[in-house]
Formats: sequence, structure tokens, C-alpha cells
Amino acid sequence: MISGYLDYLFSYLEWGTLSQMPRVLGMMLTSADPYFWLLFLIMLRMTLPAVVLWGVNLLRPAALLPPGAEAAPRLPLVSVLIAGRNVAETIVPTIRSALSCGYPNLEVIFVDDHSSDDSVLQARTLERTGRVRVFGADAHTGKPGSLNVAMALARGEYLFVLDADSEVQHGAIPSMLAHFGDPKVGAVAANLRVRNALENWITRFQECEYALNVSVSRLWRGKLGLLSILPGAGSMFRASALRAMGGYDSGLGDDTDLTLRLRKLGWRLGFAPDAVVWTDVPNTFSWLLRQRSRWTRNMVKIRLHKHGDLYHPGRFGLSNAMVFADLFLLRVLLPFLALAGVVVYTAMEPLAHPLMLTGLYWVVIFLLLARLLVAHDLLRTPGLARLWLVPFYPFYRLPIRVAEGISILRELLRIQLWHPYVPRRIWERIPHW
Amino acid sequence: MIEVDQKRYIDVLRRSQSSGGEMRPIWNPRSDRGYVYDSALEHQEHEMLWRDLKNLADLDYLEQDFFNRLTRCPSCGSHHLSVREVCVSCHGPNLHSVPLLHHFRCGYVGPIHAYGKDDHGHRICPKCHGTLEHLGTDHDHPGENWSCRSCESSFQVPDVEALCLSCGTTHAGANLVHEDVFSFRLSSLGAAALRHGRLFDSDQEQLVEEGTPIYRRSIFLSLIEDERRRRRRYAIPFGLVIVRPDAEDADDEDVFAMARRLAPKLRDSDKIGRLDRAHLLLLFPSTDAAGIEIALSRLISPDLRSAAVAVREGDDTVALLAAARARVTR
Repeated sequence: MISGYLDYLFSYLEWGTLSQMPRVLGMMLTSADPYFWLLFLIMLRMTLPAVVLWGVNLLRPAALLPPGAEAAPRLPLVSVLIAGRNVAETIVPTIRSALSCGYPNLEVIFVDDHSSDDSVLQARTLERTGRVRVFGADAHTGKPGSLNVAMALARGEYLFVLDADSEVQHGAIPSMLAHFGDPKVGAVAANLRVRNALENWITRFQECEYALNVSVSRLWRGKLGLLSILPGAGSMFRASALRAMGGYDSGLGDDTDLTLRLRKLGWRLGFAPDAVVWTDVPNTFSWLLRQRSRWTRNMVKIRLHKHGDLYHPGRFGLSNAMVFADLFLLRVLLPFLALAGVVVYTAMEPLAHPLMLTGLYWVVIFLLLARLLVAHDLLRTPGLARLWLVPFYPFYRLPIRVAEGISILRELLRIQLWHPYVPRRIWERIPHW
Repeated sequence: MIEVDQKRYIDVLRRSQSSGGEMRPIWNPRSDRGYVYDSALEHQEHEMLWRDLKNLADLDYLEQDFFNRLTRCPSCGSHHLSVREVCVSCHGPNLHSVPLLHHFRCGYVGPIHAYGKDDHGHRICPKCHGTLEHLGTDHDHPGENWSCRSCESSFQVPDVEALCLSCGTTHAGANLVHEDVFSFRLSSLGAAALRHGRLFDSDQEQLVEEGTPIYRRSIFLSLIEDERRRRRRYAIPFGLVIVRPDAEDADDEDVFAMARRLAPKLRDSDKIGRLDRAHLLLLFPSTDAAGIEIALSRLISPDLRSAAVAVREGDDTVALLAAARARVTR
């Protein structure tokens, strides 16, 4: 009995199971079982926007073009705000990239969050350019506090928030400014690309993820007014909008929180695919898991707890309700249901649906390949040389999904809410969402 | 040394002796240097006295001690300077500094004047309208920001610039000229010169103090430098020991007696030198740390205090000797 069951499990590893894919697809589409429809809907939601985007790009490419440079305000002062702690190795290249990105009227403000290394000294070497100001905070205040200090010092009409380990590509600032020709636009997200993609297989996978979840996803979300996050690594804000809100709130998830607060106030958010900001991603799996775990906790904390009222269409509009619903279904409910279903159907009832897991695997691979090809066709990322990673992608995602699931449960059950990202003395004073 | 200089130097030593053995600078803003050693002297006489004091210190008749540091204009040498913070952009001095406050609860950071006050005098956060009660517990002061009223620049660290009130030029703080001001004390050699009524000019006298085996301070310092160079080039170690009589009120005679007692116990190649009136130095060429320990055990006696001086590569000899002197001084 046991050996038979093991044979069944190992049968998933046989290449011949690829031939089962049409059968599995047919079974899913014709089955009356709601679980299959759930899986089908997830796949549809993940793939359809990218495919539609690709279709629009084929038939009406003008619809996807960003606003032209003529729409941009005429060379306003842009303040580049960088907050960092112990970033001595990266801060100088980051500031240099901002200074040399081809925009003439900018100032760079670096706020050092009480580093123990020589970040301040390194940054001060660039102060003589006359366009860089460095502020060394007397105490560790966390990233939101440091960015608020930078905001208090900034004189620009537009504030470009940048991570201390990022690089701005030439021409990025005018591309973002072009969106501000529309007075209702409050902020614009830059297109984040992975700088250290070639470092190892972990960073290569992340390049694929960024292409799908950052570049392509934000492109269609930006067009539909459904952008739900302005990345802290590279976003530009209308200074008056940010100042009116009093800047960042203390605590975790500063960028998500700010995005949702801007949405609540009715500001439009844009995405500038041409404004490329290169950023470093985690190069070890443990670091990656910690990062994703923190992001997931932020998501629950900020999106579900702090801004849970967004779901009400009567209060903050339909688009905000859609953003909320999409996030809740896609990031919280469906992963748990899907995982539970796979476990139940493959482990508990192996004979009822033979080879279902294998079939699903190939379906996922096929759809992923389609999405990556769309991303490459639209935005030239990731490179085609990265496509060999596709068959391994589910195995890369599985531990991340598990870590995210644990983080969601932790936040929902409110277990150990504090995160070292926020200094303890500040944590004790802020509302715990 | 010509006769006139000899006579003037002896006069200076005498003047030093009559003022308690020490000539201390007196601040005088009307003088060109900003200080004088004798307020009764005219400008030219004082310049002469200043040079004589320096020369006598170089010749070991006086010991010089750091007194203070004076800043001068690099253009005209005047000490009439107005040193102030200036704008990093326009170099204007019309600045004001604004402390920033950070409210923990909502994260708001703004200049202190952006926070209003309630009836009890507590500051109110303009963002969340919460009350700021205790600095450090619910709000802090991340730093201070300077603003320029002329060009509206803002910065955390202003430039420092000096305006010379004599010639009207302005100079960055880093370009100012600094002058160390010293007080001068009569050395044992100076006291001996006074007793003999002459400076010690013969070849032998220029090496060692008259009638003693003690090398003059400047000569001994150059011997130490020679040993350091030898160690660096050929890895030949050397040892240095500081000694002084145990009695706090030891006079020149006690020091000479100590030197005479030590001299027979030393090897031919070892040397005794002067550090200051109460302290002598012993130089042990080709001697490692273990050898110094042995030498110290032989030299130790209840009527003197001694300590080995570790001279490492890159150390400043004069600063090292000052630290060693502090170790053997109670």
C-alpha cells in the first residue's frame, strides 16, 4: 500500500506526465468541483492582464505610451531624498547616479539614520558639488523618520525618494516629471530593475519576479488607476501633496502606507516605465525570506488593518475597493485555499484525481512562460537567457509562499508584532495596527 | 656666537630668573603678535626678546611649554579675526539655525516653530495634534538645520570662515594660520650659564652639559631619532628609560648627583640625556625589551624613580616623552 502510494507520488517526476496536461486542463474546465474553478480563476487573474496588455500593445501601442516630455513642468527643482543607515559602501555611487542622471535642476539630500560606519563622511565628500546636502541624525529614528527629516530640508517642488543602494538611470527624472503635467497626479512610481541580477540564481529569479510583479503589473495597474504601491526604492511625489499629509507615518511599511494615504485623498498615481531605477535585491535565500516576510507583515498591517476601510466603495471610491479586494483575494485568501486544496486532493485522495499535481505544474509553467514573454516583449526584461529558470520557478516560490503564509498568520494572530526595522523607543509610542 | 648676542642672551636668562624662572605670555591685543612676554617693552624690543627666547629654547638654555594656540590671517598675519559660520553656498554670514523635532507617534519632522503650544505650554504636533510631553520619550531632536537668509540654502554643517579686521580679507577656516604660543622656563643649562656668566660654546659643551655626562636636550633628541632610524633600517632595537630623583623638591645638584651615580653602571655605548630640569633620559642602543628590564633592575634604587619608554614606529617623540614624564611625576 505504502510503496504504491510512493510510486504514485514519484510518478509526478516522469517527463511523460507532460502528456497529461490537456487531460488535466479538460478536467478542470469541465469539472463541477468548485476547487478547480478557484484554481482557474487564480490563473486567469494572474495571466489575463499581461495578455491583454500585450494585445493592446499590438493593436493600439499609443495607449501604453507615457505622457510626452512636453507635458512635463518646465525644469522644476527636484529634491532627491535618500535615507540610509550603515550604507557607506553604496551611498556615494547612489548620489553620483542621481547627480549624473541628466536632470539639471536637482538637489540631493541624504539623511543618515545614525550609522555606526562612515556613511556621513562618505556622503559629505560630495557636498562640495553644491547640490548635495548631508544630515547626520543624532539618534536612530528609522526610515520613515529619516525621510521626514529629508522632506523638512527639501526645497524642491517634487520629491524623488530613492533607496541608498539604488542607481538612477539617465533620463529617469524627466520621465517621471512628465506625469505631473496632470495636476491630479500626486506621485509616480519608477520602474525598478534588478542591478545584481547576474550575481546568482536567487537574484536571477528575482529579476523575473520584478519583471512580472513590478514592471508589467504596475504598467497595467497604472493605466487603470489601480496602482497600490509606490516603491520606496524609487518614487517621485508632488511635494505639496506629501507635505499636506505630514510626510511618512512612523512604523513598518512606509511606502505602502503612503501610497494608500495618497489614494484615500484622491490623488492619481502614475507609473513611468521609462524611469528606470536599478536596485540591489537579496543575494541569499535567508535574506530573501526575511525580506518577503517583512513585506507580507507590512501588507497585513497596513493594507488590512490600518487601511482596511478602503474596501468600502462608498467611502473611498470603486478603484480603492477593487485594489483592496484584489489584494485580499490574491495575497491572503486564495494562497491558503489553493495550498489547502492541493494538499487535500493530492495527499488525501490520490486515486480520485491522478496526476493532478503534475498537470497543474505544467499549466503553471506554461502560463508563467507566457507572462515572461509578454514582459520581455513590452519592457525587454527579463532577458530571454533567463527563461531556462521557468521550470524551477515553482520550487523557488514554494518556500517563499510558506514564509509569507506564516507571516500572514503571525500578523493576523498578532504574534510578536515588533520588528527591529522600527526602533523600540518609537515602536512603544506608535499605534500598533 | 658673537659677543653682543652672548651678552643679550645672558640678559634674557637673567630676566627669566628674576621673573620666577619662567616667562609667560601676556595677551595684548594692541601688540602685533597678540601677546608679549614683557609689557614694558616697545614693539621692536619685544620682537627681539621673542626671537631670543626661541633661540635660547633651541639651544637648551630654556625649556618651552605649550601655552595656547593663536589664529592668524594668512594674508597679513594679524590676529584680529572674526571667525564665524557662513553659508555653504553663498558664503554669507546671515544664517540662522533651526532645531528639528521628530514626533514618534506620527513620524512628523519639522522645525520647532511649526509646533504650536497648548494651554499648559506643551507643544502640539501639527500633523496628528498629539501633545509632546517629554523629550526622548515621545519626541526627539534629530539635529539642527542651518538656513541662509541671503540665498535660502539649508544645511546641517555650515562652513567656518574668518574675516580679518586688519586687512579685510576673508579666509576659509582650513586656510587660517595657527601659531603655538609657549611659555619659557629656565633649564638647568640656563641656570649653569647664569652661574658662569656665559653660554657654553666650546665643542664639548655643545654636546654635554658642562662638567656632567648629560647630553643636552636637543642633542639627545637627535640621538633618539638616530636610534629610531637604525631600528627601522636594520631592525636593531633600542631602549629608553626616564629617571628622576625621588624627592619632589630635587634641585639641579640632586639631578647631577643622580647622573654621576648612574654613569658608572651604564655600558660605554649607553647615554644619559636631559629631558627637563628634573628628568633625565637613558638611551640603551642595541637593547631589546628584556635587556631594558635587566637594566632597570640594576639601576633601580629607592632614591630615584624610573620607567621604560616604549617608542613605537610613528610615535611623536616629544609627546611620548611628555607622557612618560607624567608617569614618573607624582
